[in-house]
Amino acid sequence: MLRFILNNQTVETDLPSGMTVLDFVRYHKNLKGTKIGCREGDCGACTVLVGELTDGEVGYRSMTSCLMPLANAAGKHIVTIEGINPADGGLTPAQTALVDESGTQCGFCTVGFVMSLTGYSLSGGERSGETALSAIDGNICRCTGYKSIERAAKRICDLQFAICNSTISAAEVAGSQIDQAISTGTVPNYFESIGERLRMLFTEDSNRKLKIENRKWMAGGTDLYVQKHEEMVHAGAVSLFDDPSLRFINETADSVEIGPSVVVTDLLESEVFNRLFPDLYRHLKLVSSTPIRNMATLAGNFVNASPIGDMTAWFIALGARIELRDQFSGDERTIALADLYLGYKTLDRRDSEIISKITFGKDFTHFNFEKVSKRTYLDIASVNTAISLKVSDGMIERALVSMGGVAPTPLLLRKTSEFMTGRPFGHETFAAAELLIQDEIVPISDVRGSAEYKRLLARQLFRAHGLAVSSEQ
Amino acid sequence: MKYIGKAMSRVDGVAKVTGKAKYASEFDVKNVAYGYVAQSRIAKGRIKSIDVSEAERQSGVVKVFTHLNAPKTKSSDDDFFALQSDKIVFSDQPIAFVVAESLEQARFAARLVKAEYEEEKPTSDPRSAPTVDSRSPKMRGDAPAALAASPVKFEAEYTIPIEHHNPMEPHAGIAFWEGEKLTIFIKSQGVQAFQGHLAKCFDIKPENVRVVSPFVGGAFGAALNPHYITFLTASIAREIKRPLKFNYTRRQMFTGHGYRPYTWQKVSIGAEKDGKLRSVIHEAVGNTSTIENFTESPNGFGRTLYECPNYHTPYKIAKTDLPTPTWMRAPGAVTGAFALESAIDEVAYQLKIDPVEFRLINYSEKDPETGRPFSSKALREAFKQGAAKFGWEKRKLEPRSMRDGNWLVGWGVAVGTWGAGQAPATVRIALSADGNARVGSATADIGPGTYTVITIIAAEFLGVDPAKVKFELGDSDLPNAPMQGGSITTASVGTAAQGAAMAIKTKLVGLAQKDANSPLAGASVDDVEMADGTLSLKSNAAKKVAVADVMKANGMTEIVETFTSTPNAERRNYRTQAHGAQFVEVKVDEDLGIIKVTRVVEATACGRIINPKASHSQEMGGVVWGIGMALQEETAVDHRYGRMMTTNFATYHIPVNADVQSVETAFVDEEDKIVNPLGIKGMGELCLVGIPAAIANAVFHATGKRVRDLPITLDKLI
Ligand SMILES: Cc1cc2nc3c(=O)[nH]c(=O)nc-3n(C[C@H](O)[C@H](O)[C@H](O)COP(=O)(O)OP(=O)(O)OC[C@H]3O[C@@H](n4cnc5c(N)ncnc54)[C@H](O)[C@@H]3O)c2cc1C
Ligand code: FES
Ligand code: FES
Repeated sequence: MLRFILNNQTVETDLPSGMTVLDFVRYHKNLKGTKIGCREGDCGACTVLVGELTDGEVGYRSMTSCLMPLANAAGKHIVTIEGINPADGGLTPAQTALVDESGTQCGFCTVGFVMSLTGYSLSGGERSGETALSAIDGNICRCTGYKSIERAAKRICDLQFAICNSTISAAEVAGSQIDQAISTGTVPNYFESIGERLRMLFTEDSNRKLKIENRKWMAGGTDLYVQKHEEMVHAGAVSLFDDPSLRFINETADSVEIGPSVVVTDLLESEVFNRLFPDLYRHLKLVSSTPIRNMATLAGNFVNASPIGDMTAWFIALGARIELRDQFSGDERTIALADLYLGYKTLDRRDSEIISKITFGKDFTHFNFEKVSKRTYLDIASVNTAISLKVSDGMIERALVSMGGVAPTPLLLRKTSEFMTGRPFGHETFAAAELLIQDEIVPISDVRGSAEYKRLLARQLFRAHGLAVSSEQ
Repeated sequence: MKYIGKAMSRVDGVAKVTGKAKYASEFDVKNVAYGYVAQSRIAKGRIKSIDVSEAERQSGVVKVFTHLNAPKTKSSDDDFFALQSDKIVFSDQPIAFVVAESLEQARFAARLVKAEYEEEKPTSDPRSAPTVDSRSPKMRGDAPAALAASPVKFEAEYTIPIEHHNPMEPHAGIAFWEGEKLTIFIKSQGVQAFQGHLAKCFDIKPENVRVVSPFVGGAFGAALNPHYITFLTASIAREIKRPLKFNYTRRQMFTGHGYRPYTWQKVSIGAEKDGKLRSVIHEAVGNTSTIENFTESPNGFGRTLYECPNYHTPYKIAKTDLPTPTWMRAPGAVTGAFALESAIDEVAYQLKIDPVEFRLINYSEKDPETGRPFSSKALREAFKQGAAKFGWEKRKLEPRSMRDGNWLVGWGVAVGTWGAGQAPATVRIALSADGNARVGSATADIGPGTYTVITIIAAEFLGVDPAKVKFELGDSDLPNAPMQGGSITTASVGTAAQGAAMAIKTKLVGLAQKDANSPLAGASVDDVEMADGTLSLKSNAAKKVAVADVMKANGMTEIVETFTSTPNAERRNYRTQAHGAQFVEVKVDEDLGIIKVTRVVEATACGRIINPKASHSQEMGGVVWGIGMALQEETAVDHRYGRMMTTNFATYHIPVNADVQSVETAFVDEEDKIVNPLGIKGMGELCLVGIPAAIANAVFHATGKRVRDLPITLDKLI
């Protein structure tokens, strides 16, 4: 039996844990405010807020309920529009702004925008006009042309923080995020009690152990539910998403250790990552959308083994190593992430093994990530690539270049990387290395571009690396 | 005017932001069963055998219908109906309809329907499909001869791929029968058209069919036709004697209801050296299906736009083994405009004439087809205002002459035009003594703001606060209204609403004047003002009487008037068109080919604007449609199997917020006393028409590369 709080009510259900939250709220709870536009995570019409206890505080993130299994709702607070609407029949600031600015036309996308903007008001992180817009980067509207919605988003930003277009860190804002949201009428009063109620749920449920009946795992569900929605409902897959032992970011003297269920947003909010990767925000903005980044785990990206997985390209270039743990025998082994890939969607991994830890060294001095896709945002890459360099005294001591979309698997460009290693850090090395890349890649023509175009992108993006790392100095 | 022309927030805004607006499949109907279509794997041939036994065995499955047991239509229209025979005419055609207790069960079981086919090779590529001539207007002058004699000649071919509307709400509906009476809640742009269709299909009286669609989550033409799903759902609800609901998936949105056809166009232009057009031959071939002949005359677009004595527009359709296309926002016009407005730009470059200047040289002062005047045409003003706002005079003529770091900058312009239509419409208003008004008409509001605009017009002419007006639409029981298509709704229903309000006023004045001592005695209706619950003399406001008192004196609690407006006869002496000029700036990354539309200025002359707030939003939406069409949208077809391939949002791209930078929209004053009393022309489609061409022209200006095949993707630029 699964338990969670849905809006202001604790719900218990014996429905399959693989059923999506979307189907649960619409068909089993008759809450029809949450809309269905695609069921594939692309449109944001089904966005809900998910509140979770971390370090004693409830933190909220937006997620697309169409890809979210009930299993991942257990022990959390799930908020639909019905849980946001003020009891007195009035409107929240986000709702008012959308009405006033003409941000709703046919209205079918609107609830999703309300939820995303509300999630923005509740979440931590930087406050600026830019971040307000990125909060709605996963919501598609076919009617308004977005400008009116943008104005509404800016108004929300203004209202919550009296500051827009300039940034102010969340920490500077007095009071907890939730208290503040209650005081501005962004969320109803009952949000106050959610922390306590989740703690009670947690203590009552914590004795229950994960039952492992088969060798099917899932994490955020953002690949699995797109690829095999129907199967997943009854698959009985074990969710690794909320296992605290799989969600951590630890820094040691010379390396960083990350749990496999860490999601992209965790990286964005991590002090360690922001320190090690100054361009983190710019780079990760190119990866999916806010709600998907809130659900997309690193291990999910690795194991899905798409040749154009962004986090895969990122971590291959960091020389990341992954620990694989057999959930039945308990055996553990560690391999380089780049070695996980044997062929198209074939991995050096047994079904019973899960990725239990990801480790990479901190001794790189330069890092860059580039991605080009047909649609600049919210799109899978045509080609992506990352590079890390360890440079000292003008010499490249170690180079690692990864590239995706140019072969059946994500690639570590071994020859290119080896070639650069031991050479001077400068334009000439890059110019020479550029030629090697063309021998290492085998792109094919598909909907994301012709083979020639991808070859050209490979060259241009590598040049972009050259420019980026040389300006980093 | 008190309310007309002032910005007003949407009256249905609150329902929408709170999630309380009820879309078609959200009505609570008891004991509802769910239907889901199983679709054909092949594009052409016939079903040899179909096995539903496994599907029927699944838990929750009520019944599975195929062509062997599904009800047949009684309509003789050549629309496509599902499950009528074993014949397969397009890929993903329904082969079975699975009815189950839940949507999930129906969907699961649908996958277990097994069919064996006798397969034939489909022809889905319009370029190799057989064509038939379609009706096109008579040639003006002698275009081929004039072309041959022209000192400047130009010729090029343009293509536009299949595109899908992709409203955010997938099609959905619930049908149920009470005896002989059918009620269906369904996504619809025209409830009465659906009603007529269903009445024919069942051969029953229209009064026995009620179609309800108060909120429509976008449609853009996708819900003009009832398509096969309407009859299918209604007829199977009758078979199972239970309410039946269907919800399309996003993937089914690519096969269930038509699309903008693939079009090939060739434009040949003959001109004088000074830029005067001598001859235009604009040929077009659009695809249709093998079962219906869909036409939309894309090449007629320029016939009234430019003063050109010789004009020829031959049009053909290619019979492909695909589903039938349908109207999609600005059908025909945006297609034709992409080709013609690109070609005009190309000729302007050839002659080294500024593209705005070139268009002004060929500006049509009256309709070149008929010689009749335009009822109004403020396009010149639109050019002027748009160019000023955009800063057009700073443009350098040469391609690749403007830069912003690594980005090549390009400025392009194009023109759009759209007929200012109007159709008969009826509005009923019930004004009660307390000043509240109920207004009703069977129109639709698919997003442009019809609820609000009709509320404003009614409030204006009833002299009541808009908050006291409640406008109902989307129910076939309401007074007659046309479908919401062709940008005619405000002109049609708005005129009727004005008429009904005026009728109420006339009635009230008459009733007041029954009292011999009435302060209004002897006054004509025009001398009287009706506002805030009183009738008063315009010449002397002190002479007044309360509406409530008039009603009371006559023993009434409300006055009901129904008014039918029809397009006025005078329109026939004029050409009625709306126009707009679109200016676009793009930036193209020289190395990667990434294209950004950084600035759009759209200046539109479309008569009177009733609600600027809604209209600006609608314009923005149109601009963003244009961006999608120019740069992203394409339904790719795998011609080996005749299958649509890019059938989800991950592969069929529509613009996201981050794709849209600065967009400015402006309405040029345009007074038009001919089109209708309020001077309304409509703009929901016009705003899109010129955008794809303007973007293509800007891309050329930036890069020197002329892309004539949409969408303009990065790989086409490097
Ligand atoms: C709209 C949308 C946009 C997207 N955009 C991008 C993008 O821009 N870039 C990109 O790279 N990806 C993108 N994706 C893909 C997806 O979000 C990522 O691949 C994501 O990281 C997958 O993680 P998950 O937790 O959701 O995986 P799931 O779907 O839960 O699982 C994926 C696979 O990983 C396995 N798995 C999960 N955790 C473990 C573990 N610890 N050990 C072993 N196996 C495990 C599962 O069994 C499954 O086989 C997008 C997806 C959507 C829906
Ligand atoms: S329904 Fe589109 S993202 Fe969930
Ligand atoms: S208002 Fe219609 S999709 Fe956004």
